[in-house]
Amino acid sequence: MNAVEKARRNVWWPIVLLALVVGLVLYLVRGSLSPLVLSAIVAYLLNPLVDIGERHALPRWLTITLLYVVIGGLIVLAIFYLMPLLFDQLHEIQQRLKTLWPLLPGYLDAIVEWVNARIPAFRSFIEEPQLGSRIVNTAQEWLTRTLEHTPALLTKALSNLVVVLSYFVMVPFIAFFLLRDGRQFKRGLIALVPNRYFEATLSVIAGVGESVGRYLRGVLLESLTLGLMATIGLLIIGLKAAIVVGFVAGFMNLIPYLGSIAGVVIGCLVALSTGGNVIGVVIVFAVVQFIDNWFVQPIILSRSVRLHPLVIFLAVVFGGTYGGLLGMVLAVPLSGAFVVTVRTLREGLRPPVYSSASAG
Amino acid sequence: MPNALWTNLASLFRARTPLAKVLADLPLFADLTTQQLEEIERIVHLRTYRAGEVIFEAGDAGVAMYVIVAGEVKIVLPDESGEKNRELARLGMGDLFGELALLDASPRSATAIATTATEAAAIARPDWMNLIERRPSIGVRMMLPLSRLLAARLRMANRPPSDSESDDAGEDTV
Repeated sequence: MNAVEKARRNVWWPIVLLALVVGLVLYLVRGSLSPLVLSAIVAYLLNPLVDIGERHALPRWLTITLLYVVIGGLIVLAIFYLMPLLFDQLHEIQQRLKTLWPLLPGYLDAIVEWVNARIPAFRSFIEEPQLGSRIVNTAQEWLTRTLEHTPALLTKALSNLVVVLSYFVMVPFIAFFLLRDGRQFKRGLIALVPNRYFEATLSVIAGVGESVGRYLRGVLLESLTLGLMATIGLLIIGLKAAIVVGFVAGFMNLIPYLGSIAGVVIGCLVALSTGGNVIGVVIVFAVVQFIDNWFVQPIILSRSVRLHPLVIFLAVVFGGTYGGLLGMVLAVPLSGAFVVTVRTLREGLRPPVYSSASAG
Repeated sequence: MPNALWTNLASLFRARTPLAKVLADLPLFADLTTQQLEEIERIVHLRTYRAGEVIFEAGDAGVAMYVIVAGEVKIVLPDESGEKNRELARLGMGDLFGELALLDASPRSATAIATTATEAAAIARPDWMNLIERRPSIGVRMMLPLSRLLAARLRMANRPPSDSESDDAGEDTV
């Protein structure tokens, strides 16, 4: 065995060392990482559009600016038209609940009475009179408090203006340069790679970039489709606050499986409190989930990663622990990106094939 | 005179670097305009190699095509034992090797070693594919020269090994 081959056998350890160092640095700066991660995601999502613009002889900066104008316009439109609608619908649910609550204790007491009459053994558990009204009162207090505080919570989140503004300024700013000069950054990084790893690095970077981009675009597109389908379905069955519920279901679907579950739960609560069609809500989400599983996902996410439900669950838990709501939403796409990266790395770093058949 | 100023500035930026000159002289890029050549230049990775350094080895998955900007490279075929190398070709400034990597990821059929301090411009398949996706006109203008190049290599490889000297050159498809 000659020296070159010996050197080749030790190819893995500098890479592991580099990964460890990068991991350590990322851990140390984790506090300021989320705007960067968000920017990278935005850049991944918009890059194909910017490429299409370049294809039609539009300079990259112009395409990015145009996209920003369009997206900004959509956000402004959403704030002016959708937000009042959302608040109206929330308010309406709140009002309906207020008229419905007084009726509930009676129902619950009747149920308790009915159980007591048939199962006498139960009486020893439920000695207290008016258990139903007490349960309802506690629940009611909690729910009215939550609902009354929902607008307050939203305003509180918005009032943390420094954070929100910094995101609204930083993310587009970073994403702009990632989109415009991303290739130059990449070239600069590759220039630092030793000759021995040059070609392997090229193929790994290309593979990771492509699969991560495809995955992120897939996840977003899927959530969008699910939210739209749910909204349309709920509008058809005439549920109050259909847009709110559909919107929430679509957003929650960034965390796999959670979209439809959250949709069913919230939708049923809304239907119950507003005298809507509970069975209709369940049917709508069953159909939406069915279409999503059998038609949307296979098309959109076909060549992408599929994570085990347990992995998704753990990712969401960790994400929630370390990054709050944003962490929960980012956890799954990030784990997906991580899995894709590792998979591509392994493919890219497989030992070279020495076959006499291919020589010549 | 603003016009004179602008033409001066433009010529300043259009001044060809040595790399652009080397690229422009290649038959592969002969049909490209100056602007398109600049696009190519923007995806090029300039690599420097010490004398004796391996650029790629037979069996590696090929990812990039190389153009020698300065120096000399030898193309060798490892023996079955892997010890003795049979030299197939010696390439100098402006020569191009590993061009099959632009088309697919098949393993390298020979090893490339820098014999002197060498500077080479590498063009990677993913970058090139992305470029011709964004600028289809570049792809169109490169396809014919690339096909011609491959046809010439194929013709050399298919030539009957009547004279022993041409046998080596025939396997110069790296």
